[in-house]
Amino acid sequence: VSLTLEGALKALLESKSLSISVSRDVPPGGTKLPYCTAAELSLALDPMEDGGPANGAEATGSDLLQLDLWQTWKVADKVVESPTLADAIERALHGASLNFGTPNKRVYSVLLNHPRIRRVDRDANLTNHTWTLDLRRVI
Amino acid sequence: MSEYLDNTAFLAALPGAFAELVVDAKLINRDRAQKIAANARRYVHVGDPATDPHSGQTRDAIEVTVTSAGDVEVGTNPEKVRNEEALAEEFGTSKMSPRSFMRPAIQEETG
Repeated sequence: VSLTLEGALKALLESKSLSISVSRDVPPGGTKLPYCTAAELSLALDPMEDGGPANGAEATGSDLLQLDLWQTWKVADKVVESPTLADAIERALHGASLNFGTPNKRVYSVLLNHPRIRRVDRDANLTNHTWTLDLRRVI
Repeated sequence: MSEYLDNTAFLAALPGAFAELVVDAKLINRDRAQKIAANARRYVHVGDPATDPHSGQTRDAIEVTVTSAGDVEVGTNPEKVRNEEALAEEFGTSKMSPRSFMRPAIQEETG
């Protein structure tokens, strides 16, 4: 079981034959493109039941997470961005369940209910696909 | 355009060219829009006024407006902060992680 959510996402993608690194916020120096970054945006707890987690009940909630795919845009004036990678990541993630952390924090479902956004950073020669993920998970 | 105010509507309402950071929904009432705007003002990054001459500029640009068609909009006023700056805050850039304020604000109001 991966220790981090980013590690669990990476393992999930690898299980779908997508070898791509997933880093929290900023990739380590030297990380080769393409890669993904994940940034937690906000977390909303579900309404309290059974006395709440302070009394032994499981705490669950919705974790809003931004996942970005970064790819080289052009080489020698020719577009080299993969036309299929973003779709493949989307197929791998939508509806997936994950386990990470100690003690185990189960993600019951990764939901990609929000529109995907694509941007081009011409100055940095990068393309960027952005997903807003809803992670239904144990806190 | 969506009948419902949630993050799906927010992202779908973003024009392809990122013209404005605005959520636009026909059935939202103004009170709810004001709550989202207040949430967004709490979440938005505010620079240190001692070192940042534009400290609070994005926060102060978050407004609720009613269009001539009667739609209620929540978002940043492009006359008060450049859309590129607001969008860079919300979604990040290749050099900066996102410091999202609209999506958490909507999540807080809509669950």
